[in-house]
Amino acid sequence: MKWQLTGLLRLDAKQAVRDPMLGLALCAPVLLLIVLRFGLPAAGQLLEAEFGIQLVHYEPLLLAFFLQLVPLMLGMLTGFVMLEERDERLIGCYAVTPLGKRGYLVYRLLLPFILSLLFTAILLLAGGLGTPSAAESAAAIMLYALQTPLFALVLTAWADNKVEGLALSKAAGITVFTPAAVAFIPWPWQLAAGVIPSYWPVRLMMGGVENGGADGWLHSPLSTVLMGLIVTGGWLVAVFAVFERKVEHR
Amino acid sequence: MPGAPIFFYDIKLQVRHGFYTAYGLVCGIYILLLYVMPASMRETVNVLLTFSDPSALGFFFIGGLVLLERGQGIYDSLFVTPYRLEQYLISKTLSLTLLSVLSAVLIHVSVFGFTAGAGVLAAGTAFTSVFFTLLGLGVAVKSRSVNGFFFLSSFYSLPFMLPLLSYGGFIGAERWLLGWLPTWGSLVLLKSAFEPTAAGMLIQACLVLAFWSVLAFWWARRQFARYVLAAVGEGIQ
Repeated sequence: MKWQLTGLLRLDAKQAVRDPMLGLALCAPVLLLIVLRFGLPAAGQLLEAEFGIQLVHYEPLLLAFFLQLVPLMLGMLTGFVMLEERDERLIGCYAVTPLGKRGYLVYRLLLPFILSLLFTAILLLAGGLGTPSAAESAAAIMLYALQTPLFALVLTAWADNKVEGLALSKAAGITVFTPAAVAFIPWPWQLAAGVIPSYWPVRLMMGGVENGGADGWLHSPLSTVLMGLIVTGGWLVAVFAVFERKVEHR
Repeated sequence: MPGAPIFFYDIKLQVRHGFYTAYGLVCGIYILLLYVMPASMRETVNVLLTFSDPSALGFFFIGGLVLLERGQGIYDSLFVTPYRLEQYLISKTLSLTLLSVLSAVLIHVSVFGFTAGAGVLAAGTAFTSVFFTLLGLGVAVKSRSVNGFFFLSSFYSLPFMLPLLSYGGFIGAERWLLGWLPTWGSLVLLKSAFEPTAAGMLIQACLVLAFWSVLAFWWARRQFARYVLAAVGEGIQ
């Protein structure tokens, strides 16, 4: 399957030049980093001057928010590429090549997933904000990046066309507010947000700070990671099933 | 009104494509967000949220609508009917503006109650939405994919974000430096929902927005004729 993948990669490189959005996918995380490093301190001074609010208290919240933007952007981007390929019946064409439908999916979803891993790691390391321990950070990066293929599949599985895709991506955009749920909704109630995959990496990022010092196995990083894997995995399996049916019927 | 049936059809289409469901959800989250944040920030955040989201939703959605209709070949047959391009543009713009205004007012009223400010906020949102939807339409006809549209649109919208720099006094005298931009007018109108604003400022804001909306209409019509009508019948995707 190796040569087919490199073939697709070459095709995408060409596409990136023709359809500059794919190029933007690579620039956007760089922009995020610039905003995080330079925009945020400026905004911090402003908030302190205007409202007397110290941004330092909200650092974990802001970092969690910025990190969530990475899988959201890359996932939506991939989703729209796949949506258009599905509408043009290209997925069916790929399916009958030696690459196969599985190979197509692996390729389409693996690349943005790896990019997400890379970009979240860079944002975390170079963002200049405090981070949790190395092991917790690594787990959070994984849970963030796993949402990239999920967003892409959600778009392709549920949207009948690109207009519905836009409405869906708008709705999916609310996942960037999960950090606010973790920070502001009191403990047992915020668990309701746990059905959203982004809740779990956010909890890892914002750690014990927001728990009001509560203990118990539910608060341990390990159970948070496990819950994150279960919730995200569950979503992936469910959405994949819908996707399969949708592509079959076209 | 001759265009009325098509206007209601556009709204029906938007309901069916989930725009209203998506915005119901988004509004719910924004309302929740405004409730949980420190009260001292609520007004500023309401202005910025309204400016960046409900006001600009037409810009976001019109790209997909135009690409879909073109892909389905609707334009090939649409403009051989007595239906005119101007009616098409107006119907698309006003139907999306309706969603903008409903969302903005819902968020504002849920958090601040039925204040007199809600009226100016609605007006500011409507003006802004008309301008941005038409701008988006002009960009959309040039794009070949949704991702391409996003890419192009970031270039077209960036200059209009300049008035945001007025926050926190990054630049002084913005009324004279940026007061000719439509988005300056939007921010003035939206902010006036919370603070008394001089009549001169409000008049300038309305004039600037009206001028840019007419300009955007003219530009969108020209772009449409150039990129879509000229290609009708060639069977392009």
